[in-house]
Amino acid sequence: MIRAWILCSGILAQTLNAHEDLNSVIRSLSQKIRNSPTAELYYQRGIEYRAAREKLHARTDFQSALKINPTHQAALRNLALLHSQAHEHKQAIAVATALLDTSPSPQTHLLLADIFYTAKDLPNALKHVQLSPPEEDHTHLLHAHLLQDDEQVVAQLKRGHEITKSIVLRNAWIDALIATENSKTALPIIEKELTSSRFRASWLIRRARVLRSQNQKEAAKRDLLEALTELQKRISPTCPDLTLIYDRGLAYALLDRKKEAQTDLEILTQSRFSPLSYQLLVTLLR
Amino acid sequence: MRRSLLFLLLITSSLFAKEPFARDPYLQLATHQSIHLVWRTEGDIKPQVRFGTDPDRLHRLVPSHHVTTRTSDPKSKQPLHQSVSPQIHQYEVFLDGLQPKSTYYYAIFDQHGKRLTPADSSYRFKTHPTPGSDAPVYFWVVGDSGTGGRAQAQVHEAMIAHNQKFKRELDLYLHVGDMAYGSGTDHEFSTRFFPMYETTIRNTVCWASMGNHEGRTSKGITGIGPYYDAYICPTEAEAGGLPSGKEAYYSFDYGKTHFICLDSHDLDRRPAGAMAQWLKADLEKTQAEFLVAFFHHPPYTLGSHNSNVEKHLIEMRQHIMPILESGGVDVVFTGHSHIYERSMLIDGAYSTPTTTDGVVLDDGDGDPAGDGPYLKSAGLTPHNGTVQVVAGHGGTGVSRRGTMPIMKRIIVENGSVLVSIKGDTLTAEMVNLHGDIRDIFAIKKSGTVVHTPLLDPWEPEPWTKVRKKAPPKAPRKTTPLIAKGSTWAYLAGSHPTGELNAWTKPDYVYSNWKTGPAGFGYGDKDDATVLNDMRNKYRVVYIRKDFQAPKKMDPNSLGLNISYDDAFIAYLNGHEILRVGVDHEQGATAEDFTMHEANGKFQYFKLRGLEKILKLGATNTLAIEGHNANIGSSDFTLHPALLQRTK
Ligand SMILES: [Fe+2]
Repeated sequence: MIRAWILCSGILAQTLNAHEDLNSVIRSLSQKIRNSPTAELYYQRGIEYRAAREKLHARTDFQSALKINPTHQAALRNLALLHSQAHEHKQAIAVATALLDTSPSPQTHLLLADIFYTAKDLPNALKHVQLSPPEEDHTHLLHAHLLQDDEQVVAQLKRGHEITKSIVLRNAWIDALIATENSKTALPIIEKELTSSRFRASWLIRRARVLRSQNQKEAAKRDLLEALTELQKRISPTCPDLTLIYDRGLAYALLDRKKEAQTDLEILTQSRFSPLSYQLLVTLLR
Repeated sequence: MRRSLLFLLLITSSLFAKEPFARDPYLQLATHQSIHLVWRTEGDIKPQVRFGTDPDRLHRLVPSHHVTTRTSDPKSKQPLHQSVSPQIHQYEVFLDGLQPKSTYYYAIFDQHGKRLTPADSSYRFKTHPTPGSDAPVYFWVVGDSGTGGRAQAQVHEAMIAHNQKFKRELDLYLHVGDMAYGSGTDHEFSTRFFPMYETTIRNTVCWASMGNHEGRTSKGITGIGPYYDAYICPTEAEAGGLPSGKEAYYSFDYGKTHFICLDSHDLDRRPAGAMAQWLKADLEKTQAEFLVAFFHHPPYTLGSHNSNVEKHLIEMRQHIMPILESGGVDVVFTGHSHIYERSMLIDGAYSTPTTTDGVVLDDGDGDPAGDGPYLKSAGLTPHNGTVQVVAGHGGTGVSRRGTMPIMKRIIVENGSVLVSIKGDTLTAEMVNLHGDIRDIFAIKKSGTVVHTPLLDPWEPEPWTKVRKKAPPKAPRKTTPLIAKGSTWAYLAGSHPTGELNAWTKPDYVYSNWKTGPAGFGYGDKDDATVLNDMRNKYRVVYIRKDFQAPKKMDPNSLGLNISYDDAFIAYLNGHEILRVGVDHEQGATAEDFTMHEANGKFQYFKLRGLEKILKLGATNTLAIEGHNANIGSSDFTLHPALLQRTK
């Protein structure tokens, strides 16, 4: 299964020549750069290189842009991202901090929060996420993830949902409610979703978690098995939808089928699926 | 004398009369009981709107204090983009309490009660049917169109003519992005999108997804920029689906069809990202029977872009397609690649590079009159087959770089797609800019259909073979209206003076241009007028020539026989008639070229749609701009002849 996933993921593509497509755009930008180089031209070519997945070229171009104009905001942002993705945390932090110095903005705080989170510097991640844009789902998801106190997590996600109205935060809030065994608020919403949804697996799993906390183990098991049946119909054996692999991993873990749950977790880990979003599965498998 | 003076006065006054609108009225975000109406004026007009079901009795009134006014004043609520002139007022009206599936007519008045929209029944709107009800839907899909050029207009006109011919009326319009080249600025929206589609969008909602060109000035993450000023998209599931909290991605229902719009350009495309998590939840919730997804970057293409190597395209395929297909999607419409490519019925084609191995469920053509429609189970069934449609051919230069093996049709022409969903069948037609139906496919959903991937599916002709085919040659019997080697006026080393297209018009004064015999160029020893100074100095050469069109001739019998390297745009009497190898813009600002070697050969292009442009029995002007893709290229060629096909 993992092998199949690796095959259907992009790894094969690395061997292809990424130049053949965006070539003409890159060539024409190169020509302009040869005639009269500007920070903006280097930045634009960097963006094209990144689209062609030529990360090294992209990085060099962003750096060249910054040599001409050290406060080019988009170049700073993109260079910081490239460093962070390459796990060059120090450089990423330095570049993003330079961006924050030239133009402080909530978006830059979120960038720094992400960079510090990737660098496993959680106190600094928390410091910056508190100044991140409140209209972003990701701000609240990361913020909640960084909080220690369960009640604070619930409150953060609730506030996030009130601001953004996003269903993603509403569902994350319900998950947090379940984790704090606050089934009184969660259960009516879960029941409503179960009657109005076409695919019910994620809601069956949520109800099973509530039922387990109420020691109704048999009822929980029934929900989990029903969820698994539905998930198997939706999961393509060769190239699965990773969001469903996560659901299935949860169902297995809750059914105490640890080995199968572990396999699903491995698929998620290898796919670079954000650890932020499979934290619950990791916790259940501990 | 007095009469002609009066006539002159009338003409001058109409020339200087102020247009009532800076952006003509257009519709946005419709539901079964509400709709939004948007327009702009220069200066505040404190408008009122009247509407009703009877065009002669618009009995419902929206007073001016219920009209939302937006300006670029940064201190105002929801300010327009800073580039918008402070004079511009954008008005947005929310009309609600409407009946489902009903037609209403509307009119806009200024503060003095003067009616600004003409008493014309085309200023109307239709509410959606009740969600879940069995109403059919008919919609138009366009991508990569916003050049403001002739091909874009022709594609629009062809759609209108097609609907008139078949007595159909659009319910909605999907735009898959790149609607305002080159950077989606407010000005580009105002010149290359709104006026081009004005007659359609005054009575049909355009549901948009953002392209990379709009992404240069608008940001999905903040929802700010000219793109977001132009559109009102759902954020709180106003028209069905689940709330995304963002205008960048959303869904809506029309009867039994669920539409999903994604932002493939500048948001996290990974499965753990907020957009993918919203998509998962939205797909799990919908009770629709048809599922249509649309976004800009195509998961499968070898048109002007390559989905095997480009990041956005790969990520949409690897991260987003599995979620859509496990949710039972039927059709995915995209653009970005300037071509029409339409797949077989496929599932699970997420690997890179794309092959047909184990992913083709039905390799027929899906044409009800051919191999028959693709069959799927009733309702939405996971992994039951998807048709991918790349519709990036809506108005800019089209090109092809290879053969995407999962495709059933690969057509390098401008056009758009018209889709009807009625009962258990979805039918889509690709109509090109001349109004020809170039492709038809259908998906019929009933009972239970189990598909297993075909072991040895059909594949389109490999690119190596297609490329080797000789370019089209001129018909055998022709009369030259401009012969090979004719003398032309030409301008090399600078750009023409005057407005953008002025130099292509018959009355343009070009006395400072040189003259010389065709072809023009350097480097490959095939040129009569050698431009020795061109290499590394300039990239464009402009030529023009007058010719006499016979009194009696079929305007569609003309063709351009041309040897060229790399690209050109041809104009007849000031109108663009043919564009080859130039993707965007023209003249000094032309960009994105496809390289082409002349190799001493002539290629023949049929010219069509000249009925209203060609002056029979009179003098006409053919103007051509030739482009080199690279200023340092080793050669350049431009050698045209104009031929009339004879019997
Ligand atoms: Fe594009």
